[in-house]
Amino acid sequence: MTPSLPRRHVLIGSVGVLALAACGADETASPAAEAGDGTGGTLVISAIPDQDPEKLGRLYPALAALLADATGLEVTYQPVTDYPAVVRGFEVGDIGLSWMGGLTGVQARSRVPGARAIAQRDIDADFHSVFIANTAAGIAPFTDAAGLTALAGHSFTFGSETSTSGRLMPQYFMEQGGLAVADLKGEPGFSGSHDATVEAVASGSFEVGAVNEQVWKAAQEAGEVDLSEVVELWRTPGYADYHWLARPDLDERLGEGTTQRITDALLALDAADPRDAEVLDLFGATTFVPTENANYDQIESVAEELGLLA
Amino acid sequence: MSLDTRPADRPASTRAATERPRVTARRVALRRLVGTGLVALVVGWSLVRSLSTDGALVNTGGLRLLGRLLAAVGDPATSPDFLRIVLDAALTTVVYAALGTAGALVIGVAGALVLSDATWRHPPGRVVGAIRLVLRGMLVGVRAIHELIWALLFVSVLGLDPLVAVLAIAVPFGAQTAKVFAEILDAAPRHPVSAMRASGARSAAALAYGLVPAAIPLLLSYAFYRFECAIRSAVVLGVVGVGGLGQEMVLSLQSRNWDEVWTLVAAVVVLSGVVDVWSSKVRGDLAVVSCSDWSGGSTGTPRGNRSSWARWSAVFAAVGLVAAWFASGVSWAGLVSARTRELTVRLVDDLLPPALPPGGWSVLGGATLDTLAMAVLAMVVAVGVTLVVGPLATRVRPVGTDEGAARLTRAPRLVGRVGARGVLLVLRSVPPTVWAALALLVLFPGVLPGAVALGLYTGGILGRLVAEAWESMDTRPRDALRAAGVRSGLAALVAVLPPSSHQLVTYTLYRFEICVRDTAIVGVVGAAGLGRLFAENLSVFRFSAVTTLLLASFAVSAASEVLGRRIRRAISA
Repeated sequence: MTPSLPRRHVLIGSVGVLALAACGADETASPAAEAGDGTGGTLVISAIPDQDPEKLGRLYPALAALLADATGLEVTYQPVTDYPAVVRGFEVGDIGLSWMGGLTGVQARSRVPGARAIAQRDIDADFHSVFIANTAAGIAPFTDAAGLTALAGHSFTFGSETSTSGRLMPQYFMEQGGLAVADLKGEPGFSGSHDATVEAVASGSFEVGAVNEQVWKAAQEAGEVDLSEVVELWRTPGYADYHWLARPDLDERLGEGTTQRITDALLALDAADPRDAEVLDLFGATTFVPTENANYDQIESVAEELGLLA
Repeated sequence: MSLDTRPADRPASTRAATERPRVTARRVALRRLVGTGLVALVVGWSLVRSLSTDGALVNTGGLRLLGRLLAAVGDPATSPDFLRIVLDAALTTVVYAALGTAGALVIGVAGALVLSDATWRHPPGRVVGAIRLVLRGMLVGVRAIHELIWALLFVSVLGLDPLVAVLAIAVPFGAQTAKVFAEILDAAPRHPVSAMRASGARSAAALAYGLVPAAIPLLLSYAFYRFECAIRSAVVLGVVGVGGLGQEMVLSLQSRNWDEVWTLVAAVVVLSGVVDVWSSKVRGDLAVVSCSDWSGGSTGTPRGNRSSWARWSAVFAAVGLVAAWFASGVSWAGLVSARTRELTVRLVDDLLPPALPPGGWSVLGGATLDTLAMAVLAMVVAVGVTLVVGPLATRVRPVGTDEGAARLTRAPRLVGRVGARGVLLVLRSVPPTVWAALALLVLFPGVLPGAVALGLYTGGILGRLVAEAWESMDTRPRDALRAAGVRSGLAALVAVLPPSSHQLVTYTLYRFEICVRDTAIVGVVGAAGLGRLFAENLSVFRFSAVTTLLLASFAVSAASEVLGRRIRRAISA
């Protein structure tokens, strides 16, 4: 045995540290607890990450500021990295108000009974997906779902796995048109977001992809991605998609009438007001309109059919 | 894969321990042949399984994106704003790793006190025996589930609380630590503690002064090893969205900002490299032990000399831990809040009873086979990396007679070694999720991209372990042969090849066990296997299927661990 003096020092030292750490726990407990509650006086908003993170980072903080001014609440934006995480955050209560897709909204409502769809963009009631292809794939545009059979033998990417316009509805129309996923070349990819899909097709990484029409249009206008080799194959029939979903306990946590005030603030966004117009423009909309849960029944039944609901 | 002392040694060597039959050269050759054949069969099956999908495997279209990514390596993002984000993220990662390790140590000490025989005054009775059995089972179950999966489950209850990252590291690492600590305590000399007890010392005092001092070097050494692993885990956990370098990587990959990806890769490599060097120095000073020993049940021997480096490191770690605690803003409040209780009840309620995922047994069975095939192919890639890079990364001790020649080749060797170690460091520092994201650019989703991603990552770890083992190899047999006039090539072949291939096999088996568990990570980002199925079902909140998948992953990793350990023990006998 070697002399044990230093060891004892170490031992005593570590006990001391543990004790310190324990004290630390008590001291920090209370302020952090408030923050942990997420909505202790603050409205936390979030959104499914359907586009590039930096675009979301421009859009939602700006909207949070508008909402804060209109409602007098403190509003913060919580960025989240994937679709299911938004639903989870909404379920546990970290997120009070969230920009959901059709499917994620249905999922969230089944996890949080009483959650309410309060507003959508003017374009969301009749929303469309677009199938796009790299010109190298040599596929000609077509006019109905049956044309999708031309995709057989080509590589294909969806957006996120639980995206409505990037996965659910495209897959639904593929089945309607008689194209099985197994007919594609290789397994379908999941790019993660609509921007990623556009770039994957533009670069030829995947020959064909399905994107949400609004992001597709925005990409064409922005001109950040070279789309000279991308053709639009087909625009799907319309369906109801994105919406703002509010937790049922917002009024209880933030005061009576909060949900209504938020709804009013959203509906009052005015394209004539330059500050509002900037946000609306980023949303690809001219105005927000009221909506209700029943508008997404079709999405729910399609999701059930495709096995995307528990 | 050609240097083989193969698993088939097992039955023969167990027999050798009891009745010692004559071991003839033919017998050895036969065993090796059978062993090699078995491995070839398993690898062949895995290849067939991964290659025989109906569709295509290689996505040639993705090559252009990969090219664009590689082209950005010379031009990493260096704007001050972004560097600040990187620095913040790196600190977050270190803090999570430190607090997670601390939590693991607390769990480990508590568990070890119950599990170790040395800590009990009397031989434990039936009640304690029963408690221990339950505890052991729980610990096995807990550590068979990957940190990332734990994180996903914790997120369901705690939300995006930093506590998620800390707990996801602390819980599985704690289970592993409890087992290793108990083994260390049991291996420590028992006389001092018995003597103190006999002379009337109270239990706690007897343990603190009679048992712990002898075990401290090994305990500390293991603690530092855990921290090393925790850094890598903390990066991987970023995928869940709790922050740190991993999350920034995911964000930059999502935005396809390749220049940012490279900056983050550099940050991860530097961080991981610094911690590796620090930790191996401390561990080397404290005790003679390797990672494979920890997992194989042997605990190594403490070094006699006292190292001030190790002592100061322990002090630094303790102070750092306190700082980390305050810096992180982690609070236990989330653990005891009413909301957490409510959500936990709900989660348990959702998880039970288990049900089959859509598609039933065939889907579950297929995913299980995919997981195994992926792990096997990943090991093939990892062994390939090790065989190519490992020898370069190994410091070769020159033979006494040709000092001059050694001096001549020293500089290029040094360059080669630093380069090779750098490659291994990069391979193991970049999280497998990122390797998988890259593999998915050029390969269609399936077993193959997962195997490539895991293989590169594991290759980085395996290469390092094996290179270190090779360095510590006894070179005297070779020197003796050469002194006796045997030609140098032949001497090396006869005296160096067998022990070095033995080490390669041992470590390969050890990493295979871990690799099976790691398949969960690449599954989550879209490869294949049980991890993929897990992520799919979790993303649609089908919790009853999630439970089944957890049970299946547990069964697969437990089985591979038992099998791997048996073979390792047999061939080391």
